[in-house]
Amino acid sequence: MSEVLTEAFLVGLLATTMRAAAPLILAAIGEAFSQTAGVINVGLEGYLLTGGFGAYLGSHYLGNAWLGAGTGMVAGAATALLAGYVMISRRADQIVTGLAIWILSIGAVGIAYRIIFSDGNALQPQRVAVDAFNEWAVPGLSSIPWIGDIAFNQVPLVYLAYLTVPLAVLLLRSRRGLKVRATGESPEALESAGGSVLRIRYLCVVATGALAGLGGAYLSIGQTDTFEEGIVGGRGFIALGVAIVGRRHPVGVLIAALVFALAESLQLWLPTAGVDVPRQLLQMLPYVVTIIALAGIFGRVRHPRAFLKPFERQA
Amino acid sequence: MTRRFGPVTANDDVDLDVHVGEVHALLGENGAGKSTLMNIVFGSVAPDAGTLEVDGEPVGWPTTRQAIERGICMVHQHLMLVPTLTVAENVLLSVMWTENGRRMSLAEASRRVTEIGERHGLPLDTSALVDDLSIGEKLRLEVVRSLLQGEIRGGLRVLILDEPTALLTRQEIERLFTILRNLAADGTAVVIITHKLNEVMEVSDRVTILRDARRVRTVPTSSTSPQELGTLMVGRELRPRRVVHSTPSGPPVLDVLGVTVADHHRVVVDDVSLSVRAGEIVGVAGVAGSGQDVLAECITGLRRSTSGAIILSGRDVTRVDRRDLIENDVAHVPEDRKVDGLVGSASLRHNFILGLHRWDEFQRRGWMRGRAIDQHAARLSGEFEIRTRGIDQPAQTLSGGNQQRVLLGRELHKAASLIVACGPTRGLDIAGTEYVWNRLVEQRDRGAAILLVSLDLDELLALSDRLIVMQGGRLVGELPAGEADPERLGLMMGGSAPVAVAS
Ligand SMILES: Nc1ncnc2c1ncn2[C@@H]1O[C@H](COP(=O)(O)OP(=O)(O)OP(=O)(O)O)[C@@H](O)[C@H]1O
Ligand SMILES: [Mg+2]
Repeated sequence: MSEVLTEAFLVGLLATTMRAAAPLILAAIGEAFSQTAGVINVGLEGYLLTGGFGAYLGSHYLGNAWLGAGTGMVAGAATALLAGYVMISRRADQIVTGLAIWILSIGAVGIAYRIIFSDGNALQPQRVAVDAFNEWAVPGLSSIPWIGDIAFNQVPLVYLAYLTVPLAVLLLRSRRGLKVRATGESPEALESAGGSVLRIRYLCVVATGALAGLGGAYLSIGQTDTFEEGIVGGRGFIALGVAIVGRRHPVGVLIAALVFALAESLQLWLPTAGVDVPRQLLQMLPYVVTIIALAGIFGRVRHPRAFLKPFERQA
Repeated sequence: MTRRFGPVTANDDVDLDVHVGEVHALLGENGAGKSTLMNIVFGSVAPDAGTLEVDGEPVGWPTTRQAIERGICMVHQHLMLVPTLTVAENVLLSVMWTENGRRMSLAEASRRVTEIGERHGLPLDTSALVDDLSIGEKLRLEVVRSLLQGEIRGGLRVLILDEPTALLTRQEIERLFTILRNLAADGTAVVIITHKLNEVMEVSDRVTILRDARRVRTVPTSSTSPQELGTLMVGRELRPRRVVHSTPSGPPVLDVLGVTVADHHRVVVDDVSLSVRAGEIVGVAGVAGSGQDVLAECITGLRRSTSGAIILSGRDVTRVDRRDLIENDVAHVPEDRKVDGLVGSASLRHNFILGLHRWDEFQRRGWMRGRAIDQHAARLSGEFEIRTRGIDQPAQTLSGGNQQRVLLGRELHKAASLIVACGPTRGLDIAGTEYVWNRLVEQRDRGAAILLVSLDLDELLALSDRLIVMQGGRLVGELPAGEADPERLGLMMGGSAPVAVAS
């Protein structure tokens, strides 16, 4: 076992974990707020997908990775806005809406991808050139032994993802954060205090979409420079688990995302270390962790009182 | 103002004017439309027709936020607090800015709540979770929050309180009334909704009576009497009630033997023993949170005691399932009807058989007997004069008092040998209160043992054949009905009187 734990292996594993956690954090941190406000985004997987595609598209046509990330955010936010309209204004069942949005995203992105990037009518999309993000070594910090290689030699979107955590902590402590908690716990109380439940819920859901869109952008033009339809690979659903297991708190989300990301990275790194485990078993790892987490093995999570409950203003 | 809910008219062209510097009482039976009218003023319900003027200026139909900005505050019948936030955070939720337009900080909110609390005798622990507050403290928080709101807007224009006294002890009510009169003196128009005529006489300058969604009359309090108010409100003359106390000698139906309950390592009921005989009403007095509600929960199987025994008609039921108890021998009118009594979103039809749904009357081999259930619901709705548009109506859309009637109808129908009634007339109007009192006495005369837990001393004194006083989880005294009076009870409840234990 000792020859497995070489420096190269550990640094590689942890650097991959850092990276793999980024899209999970981006998707889950907004989701944590949405759920605190009483709305679950089952369609998170779809927000990531439209975000990833939007970023690819934007980067290709605008020729700039940052602008691509921006279009990714807009695409994710637009998808979430649609879901939000159905869940919040039309008061439809959140789970069913989320699944519908997910399936709709797969269909819409699949068709758009084939139509836009195919030559002639073969509907065989071709690879195109996009401006992808490059690693940016943080001056100074990146030369710290071990740590520098693990944490400070990543693409900018990864730093952004980790930056959202302290920002979210501040937000949660602010008055807006109080309103978000009140919205999920007693919407009537928020309304009678002069707040608007609908406004808070829309803000949360659209922000979730924008952040997830950025997560999708990382998947298409951050860690690679290509797009394919299976690019999200269940990360949206894993992020739902991350938000819940992380107790809907930014720090909890950070920790949970890292645990899930470690499971994902082990799958890549264990074979290189010569550990002989069937690949399929390793690939199951993040999903198995999700199920274990959701089953409440890490302690039960209390849901807000108005969780999943549509709000109707007395009129 | 006019407002309809489907076929029900809640307000029918109601006029109301409230003057600066007065305390205005709004009086009316359950479902008369008092809450609806005040919700319109506060902007949480939109009227179908009508105009609203503040300081002579038409304001259209405000939203809640606009109402607050205009200095209109409301303490709702069902308190509007977020249980998972602290006292200070709940304040911050509605009081966002300081008077000079800066954002209010949590620290400042805490400081000012403490300060207002000290000034008005309304102490609050600002870092406590609202969930952990007693119901009286929650009300205190709502009042303090409104006062702070007023301070920031250079004076409260209007303060509305929807049945605040239903939750308070006598001392707390007096303190509240002092505050209201001071506010009025400082130029606030205060509106208070209550069903207690003596409170109306005590605190208000004018009274408006609503009946069946219409305004009957507005009169100066000094030129009216409780009798006249009662008549105006109900539309007929009320007879004063007289309850004949009984001194039963039969065997006890309920024996509580040394029951202790620890909640998170805090002893909330401490070695309490008592017994209730058939044909006897035993009243339990005590300030809110003295352990009386927890004791009632133990007796009715909602909670397990840590030690001690509960004997019902000679059978040890300490560890018996609640289902077994409430299906047969025990009727329970819980303290919080919204939590333990009714399913808000379910229809009256289903609420009327909740817990009795296994009775042969209502099911056969697991299939519900729709017709029998409907008949049962229709009969009880009629018998308890529930104001409803039909047995399909969800319980939560009934007025507060009517919800209470549904609960009572179901529980008293059981003809149980033991009735545990916690605040059975909370939120009921005079006629309703009289009705419930009569029904409870009727049940007693039928031979039921009744344990009556109430914060309302008038109620306890009117009904109880024997009184027990609890304080801090302990039983601190016992009095026969003849020897009890409000002063003596008040002192015992506060723990400052020599404890008299009658034999
Ligand atoms: N949201 C609603 N949906 C349907 N009906 C309603 C709704 N709110 C109120 N009502 C009906 O309007 C009528 C007036 O209700 P309101 O709550 O104003 O009565 P109230 O005078 O406050 O009575 P109480 O003393 O019992 O609190 C009742 O018949 C009630 O059932
Ligand atoms: Mg009311």
